Amino acid sequence: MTPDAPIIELKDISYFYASSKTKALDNVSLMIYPGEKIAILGANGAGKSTLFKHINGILRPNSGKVFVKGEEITRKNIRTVRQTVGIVFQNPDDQILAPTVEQDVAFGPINMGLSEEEVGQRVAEAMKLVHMSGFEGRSPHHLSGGQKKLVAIAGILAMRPEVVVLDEPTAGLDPLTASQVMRVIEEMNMELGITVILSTHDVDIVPLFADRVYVVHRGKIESQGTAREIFKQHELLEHAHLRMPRIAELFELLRESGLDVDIKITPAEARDEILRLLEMRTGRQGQKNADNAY
Amino acid sequence: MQITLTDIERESYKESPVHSLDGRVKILATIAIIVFAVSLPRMDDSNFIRLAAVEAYLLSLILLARLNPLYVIIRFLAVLPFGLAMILVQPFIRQPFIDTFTIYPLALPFGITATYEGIYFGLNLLAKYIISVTAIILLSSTTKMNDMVVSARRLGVPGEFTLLLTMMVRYLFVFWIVLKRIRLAQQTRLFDIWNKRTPRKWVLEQMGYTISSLFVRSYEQGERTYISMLCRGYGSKKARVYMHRKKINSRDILFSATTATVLVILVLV
Repeated sequence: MTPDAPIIELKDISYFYASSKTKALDNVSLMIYPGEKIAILGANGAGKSTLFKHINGILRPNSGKVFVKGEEITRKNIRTVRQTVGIVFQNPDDQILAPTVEQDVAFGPINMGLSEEEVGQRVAEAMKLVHMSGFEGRSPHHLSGGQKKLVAIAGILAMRPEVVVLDEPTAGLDPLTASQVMRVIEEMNMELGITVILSTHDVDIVPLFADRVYVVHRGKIESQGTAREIFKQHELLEHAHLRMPRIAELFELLRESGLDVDIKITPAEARDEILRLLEMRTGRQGQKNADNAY
Repeated sequence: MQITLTDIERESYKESPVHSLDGRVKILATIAIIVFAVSLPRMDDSNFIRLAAVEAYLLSLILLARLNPLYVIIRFLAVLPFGLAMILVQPFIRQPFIDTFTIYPLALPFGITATYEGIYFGLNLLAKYIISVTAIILLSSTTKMNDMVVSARRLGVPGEFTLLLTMMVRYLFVFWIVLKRIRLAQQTRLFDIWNKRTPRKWVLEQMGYTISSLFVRSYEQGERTYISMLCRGYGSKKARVYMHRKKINSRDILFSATTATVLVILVLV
């Protein structure tokens, strides 16, 4: 379900850093609708983080316009924009600035001018949402990388944003912790209706997460579509320094071995396809046995 | 052996009757003890007895706090040279508040002379310095850094100041971890400042690179942190340290009363 009005809209934005002659973003346009789960897929240095900094108003485009809930980002509405669009940075140490978890999660709500009671309520609520209740008094340097990431997410959720932008949320995490972080992200989308935009170069998590995918390469949007549509485009993936998900690669190999299979990109789809194949084979075997019996 | 931030943190996380006291009470007691020590007459025989009594009181609190004695001694010795530098010059200078000086019979070059009064004043200063350092070591080893900042806020230190202090505490640990990583990476490639096979100049250069790299990293970290602060609404002038209300309990009152009684008795005696 995608209502007509986009919650985020980037119109032909271009941006270049003073230290570089090449454009970090080159004529980028995209539209994101309320409640969507969007993946911005691109290799290192493709421009994903620069793109995110525009959505939150940290960077201003050299040309083009950024709209949040239909309003162009200006100096006047920047605080409202930052309340609407929360950003979770790649390195939690850039974001967690207080010596205890609780003090850090309270930082945003305090800046919003909320009462002491309301701040406390929001901190408790956010900690519960990221399954970190009980860690309030802990020092951030006593937490693991995954726990710090969840605290960083809690710090943004405490501001009750409508959109959460996550820069490489699973980078540097072990598989189990990465799954835990992704589950929290799923929950905030499903249970709170928050629009989620995440950047990643991890092609294996994209099919499991994203409603739509934008492929970014050298500051340009190279393609957009569903994960299935994107991962069909072999040339595009190669051009953008990406690859297919491992599951899809396995199905490619099976196809090359002469099996009549559809390329699948998620474990659940793969299971169904493998079961179908097995059923077909047992069916054929059964037919063969029956023929032999005659 | 050296004392690191990790050691200080480990001691402050211990559980003892002194650790569990409210930070405000400990800060006020520390300030009171330091003010008492420095406000004693510049030179007086009774100073030594009074200061010895306060030192005994502080040492009993250190024992009660179950602080590692070796840790306390090393921390004390680490700070001592800063005070000693100030104290050791006293015998050789003419203090303006002393009328007459008696030359100490010691032959020194360049016409330098020491005086009995200077030595006596230096010893008074040393005693006061020892009390102040012991009090600070006790406070910082029995109170978590963040608790000290929060307690300071509760005592009325301006919010902007305490907010900056909380960030300083947070990033002190971040950079301590960064420094540990750098040192570990250097050790894996056999770097050792005491290695006799490498030229001193080269070792100093490497240390210089490490320090400058930390400066650059802290500058970059500052920029990234500031951006993340802006993203969370910083700039509204509403930022402050988040803390719960905390009541002073009977143990805090008992400690405050004991400290005050000790000091008052020593003033009156």
